[in-house]
Amino acid sequence: MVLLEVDDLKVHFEIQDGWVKAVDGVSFSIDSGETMGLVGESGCGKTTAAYAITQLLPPNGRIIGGRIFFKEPPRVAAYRKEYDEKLKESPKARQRELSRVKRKLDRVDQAIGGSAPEVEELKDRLAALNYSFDLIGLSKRKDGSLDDYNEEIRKIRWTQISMIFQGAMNAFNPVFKVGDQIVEAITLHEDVEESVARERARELFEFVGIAPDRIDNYPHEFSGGMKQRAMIALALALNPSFIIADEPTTALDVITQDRILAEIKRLQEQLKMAMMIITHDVSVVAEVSDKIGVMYAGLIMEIGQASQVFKNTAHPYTAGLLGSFPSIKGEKRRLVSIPGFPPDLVSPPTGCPFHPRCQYAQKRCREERPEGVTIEPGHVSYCHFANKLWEKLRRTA
Amino acid sequence: MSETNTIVKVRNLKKYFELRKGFLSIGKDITYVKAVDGVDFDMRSGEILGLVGESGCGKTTVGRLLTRLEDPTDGFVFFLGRDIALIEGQDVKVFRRNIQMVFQDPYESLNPRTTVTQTIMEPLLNHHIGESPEERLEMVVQAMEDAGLAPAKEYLNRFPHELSGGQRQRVAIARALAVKPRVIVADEPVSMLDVSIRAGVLNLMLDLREKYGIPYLFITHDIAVARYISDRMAVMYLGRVVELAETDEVISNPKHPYTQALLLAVPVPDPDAKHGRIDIKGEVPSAADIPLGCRFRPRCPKAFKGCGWEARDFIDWLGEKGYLAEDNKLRQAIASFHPDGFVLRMTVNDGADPNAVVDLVKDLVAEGRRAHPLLDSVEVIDTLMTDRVIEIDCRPAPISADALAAELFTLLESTVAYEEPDHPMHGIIADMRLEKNRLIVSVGDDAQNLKLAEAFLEDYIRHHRRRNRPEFKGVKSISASPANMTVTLTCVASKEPAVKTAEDVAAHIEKRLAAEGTGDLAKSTLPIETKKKRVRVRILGPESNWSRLLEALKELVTANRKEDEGFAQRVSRIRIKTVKKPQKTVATKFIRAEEPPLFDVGEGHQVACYLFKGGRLGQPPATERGSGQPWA
Ligand SMILES: Nc1ncnc2c1ncn2[C@@H]1O[C@H](COP(=O)(O)OP(=O)(O)OP(=O)(O)O)[C@@H](O)[C@H]1O
Ligand SMILES: Nc1ncnc2c1ncn2[C@@H]1O[C@H](COP(=O)(O)OP(=O)(O)O)[C@@H](O)[C@H]1O
Ligand code: SF4
Ligand code: SF4
Ligand SMILES: [Mg+2]
Ligand SMILES: [Mg+2]
Repeated sequence: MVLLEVDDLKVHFEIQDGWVKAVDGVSFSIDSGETMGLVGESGCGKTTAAYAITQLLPPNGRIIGGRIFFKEPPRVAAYRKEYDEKLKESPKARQRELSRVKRKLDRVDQAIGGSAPEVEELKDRLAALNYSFDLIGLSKRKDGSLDDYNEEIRKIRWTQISMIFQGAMNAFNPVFKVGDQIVEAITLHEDVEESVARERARELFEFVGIAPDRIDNYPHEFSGGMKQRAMIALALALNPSFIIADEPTTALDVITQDRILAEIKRLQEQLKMAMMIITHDVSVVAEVSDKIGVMYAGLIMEIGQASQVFKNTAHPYTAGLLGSFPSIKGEKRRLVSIPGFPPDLVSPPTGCPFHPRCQYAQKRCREERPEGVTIEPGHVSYCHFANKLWEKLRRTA
Repeated sequence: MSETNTIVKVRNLKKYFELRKGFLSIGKDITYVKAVDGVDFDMRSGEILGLVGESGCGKTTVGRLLTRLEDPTDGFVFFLGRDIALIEGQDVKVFRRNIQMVFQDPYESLNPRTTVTQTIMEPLLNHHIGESPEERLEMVVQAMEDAGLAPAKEYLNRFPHELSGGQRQRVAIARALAVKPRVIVADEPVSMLDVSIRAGVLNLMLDLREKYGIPYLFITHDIAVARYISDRMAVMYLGRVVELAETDEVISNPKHPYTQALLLAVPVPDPDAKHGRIDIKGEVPSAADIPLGCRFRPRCPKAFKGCGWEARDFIDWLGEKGYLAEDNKLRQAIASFHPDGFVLRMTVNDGADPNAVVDLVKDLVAEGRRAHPLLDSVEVIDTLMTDRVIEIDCRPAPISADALAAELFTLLESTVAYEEPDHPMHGIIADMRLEKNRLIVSVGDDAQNLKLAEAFLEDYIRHHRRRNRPEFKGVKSISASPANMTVTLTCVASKEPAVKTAEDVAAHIEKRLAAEGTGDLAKSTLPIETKKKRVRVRILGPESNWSRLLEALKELVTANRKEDEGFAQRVSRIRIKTVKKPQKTVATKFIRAEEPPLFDVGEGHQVACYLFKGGRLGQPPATERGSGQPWA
């Protein structure tokens, strides 16, 4: 079942010389219990996309477009897509449909009332027309900035969607004990006694493999790996159904990284947690993801099941990224670097943003932004020539 | 010539940083962060040697020692046969030119206010390379094109902020290359680069090695990168190289338990290659408090009896097994624990009987012996008389003039290596010979050479005296004879350094005690301490052990045996000294183990692990074998 659906999200940052198009039309969905890996080079917009989901943007960030649906019932989602298709971009038609459904609901409600299937259906239709499960609709201000203090959002953030920040090792306040910071997070959101919260904190420590008696330590008394585990404990404190982990192991040594990844796998297996793991390291995503989205210059280039993206690669950028990554397994082959360097997102290339570096680029690539091409169910490549290149790329990747 | 093949030799290299504990600790014991603690490796011409390990294991420090950005606490780096610590004056410039460094952060290592041209030109000007500005510019362009910055004219006038990370790193490489160095030390040169750009810089470095045959020391924490780029690989753990071999061999056939764990932890860019995990325990210990014996032991799943278990391991084990709980008999009998290396002293409560404590400990050790190699390496459990110590006063032994000349000869032969084409004495020193207390160095027939050799030898002796060979003050004169075209070094009798005396005496006692038919005395004797010119010996057990030990030591002095000659000469007095009030104490002594050196397992594969003592995997005897599981 779909837990989170991001639809054509655009987030830009206002700077002196214009707008940084950090996320410029990104769509994907995550099922409950599923882990999606979002991989891409530095600056391609991974963190920005994640921040938009938790509704935390820097002051100069603006939501330019798109919606983020969370825990939307399947039928509502189906109606919503039906309406979006039918009503296209016509607000007037939507308005008319809205009043029609409302009137009908009033009528039927009075006639049969209660929870008759017909009433339920109309309620779902109404929710679909209103985008009731869109997080962005809740907090977006007129100018596109997000209202951090929106009540509805604050209820969801941390309790339902929580986040392990990039550079989490420094996320704890150095002057308070680690355990106290977790206890505070719990008591702030839930109406429980402090002693109950403390007991929960100890259990969480135990779960992430830190001796519970270390909850009285200060952050500096922890190693980098321990801080990262404590951060996971904090993210779990309020039993969220979705965790976003931004570069959770990047600053860590391999042995510690390996332990944190094992921890993440345990969250997947034991708690059936849905997750989004953001990283630039393709071996890390390979290890923990069910599904992988490859991002470049604010856009998704390719998305699919891990094995589809890795084995049946259908986008030249993915092929390039995989081909430039050394491994300790398999034959030693010469790495192929991608020529050039990632673009500046204030004025990204027209058409397909990868075209200046792509060996297959044609005229069309400079002019038209590629639509998604479905290779197999669930496997989509945003390349004009995906169908043609697919055979070739999958051999080289 | 075998020497030419080896460009850099690193021997027993150490770098300790002083660690001050707060402001008020002046005069207290200083502790040291042992960043590099006895590293050995060679770099051969044309090869890329990968130096890998987790952060903080000392890789960067090794790189800085190699380039003389840091002075070693001990040990040597020989560059083309010369001890780099002795390079002085004009030669420093030549050295700096020959060994270039590329750093991790290409932004920080380039001056933001100079253009690419200026940046690459600077070392050329510094080293007076190139005849004219035009020629130098040509060299800059060549270096840039070599580094993949082509066409060069597009980049010549750019500033660092106008370049991408990958381009900046290429500029840093071009700068290093421009002066045609003999070695490049590259410290994490691709870690800060974007993934899509890394491969380009790695390929560039491989191509340049192909083209110019310049060897690199390639420092990285990323084992997949090291596998890709290096021919041989050295794996570091906590300040030491624990495994060294051909890269493919390390990757496909790792032998050290640490390397094995490290490789298992590396994720692979393939969703089907889910790997198994072996768990090595805990975290890397602090470099300021390195375990004795094998430094990997506290985390090693294969550790066995001979790996050097310590008192603190024992305390941990007691805790885990509940012996330190308030209501435990042992805990109740003991007032305090004092772990000190291989010896655990336990101060017994007033009301308790030390002999009963000895029995208690013996019982629990006997019980656990099967299950844990730690207990298997308990050597003695006995009472300790804390009120006395055997003190031995030492005096430095003389070195005869002839012996000193001979020692000088060996030293010069081993380190000067004037056959080496790049050595400043190459083609100058022609031969050396020993005549009693004189070392005679002959040069070719150029009078200029005579002067050069004389100056070199003077420097050489002065440096060694200052550094760690004070006995060289016995080199009385260095005189050149234009008639014979020789320089003669004349020695007189000298004296060994006092600290060395006490250490030699201590080592000798240990050796003799073990060799005599006094096995139990040797076992019960605690590790011998030295303090300046004094040696202090303690023994476990009753009064009678003390008198037997005293007798045995005196016997060593009076015995008229050849092997004890030096010892007798160095000892001026032996006596039992009363030091403080007696205190009821029981001690547990563990088998001592040194740090495992690099054992050769064939084909240049070296492993610092006792499992490989004597070459291949010497299966330890059944009682010594680890269970392959982390110790519970
Ligand atoms: N507050 C801000 N103001 C202006 N530009 C910003 C801001 N935050 C991010 N950006 C820009 O937006 C783009 C995407 O940034 P983002 O942090 O999402 O990248 P990322 O993929 O997470 O990169 P990394 O792997 O380095 O963390 C970059 O070009 C970045 O410079
Ligand atoms: N200048 C210094 N003063 C004190 N400690 C240092 C200094 N430089 C390095 N160290 C310590 O020495 C150890 C090795 O450091 P380093 O050589 O930088 O490791 P690596 O490059 O392998 O990460 C670490 O414990 C580090 O904190
Ligand atoms: S759309 Fe064109 S430029 Fe973009 S990846 Fe495909 S072939 Fe390359
Ligand atoms: S010597 Fe070998 S077996 Fe023993 S602790 Fe060290 S690595 Fe492990
Ligand atoms: Mg980021
Ligand atoms: Mg370093």
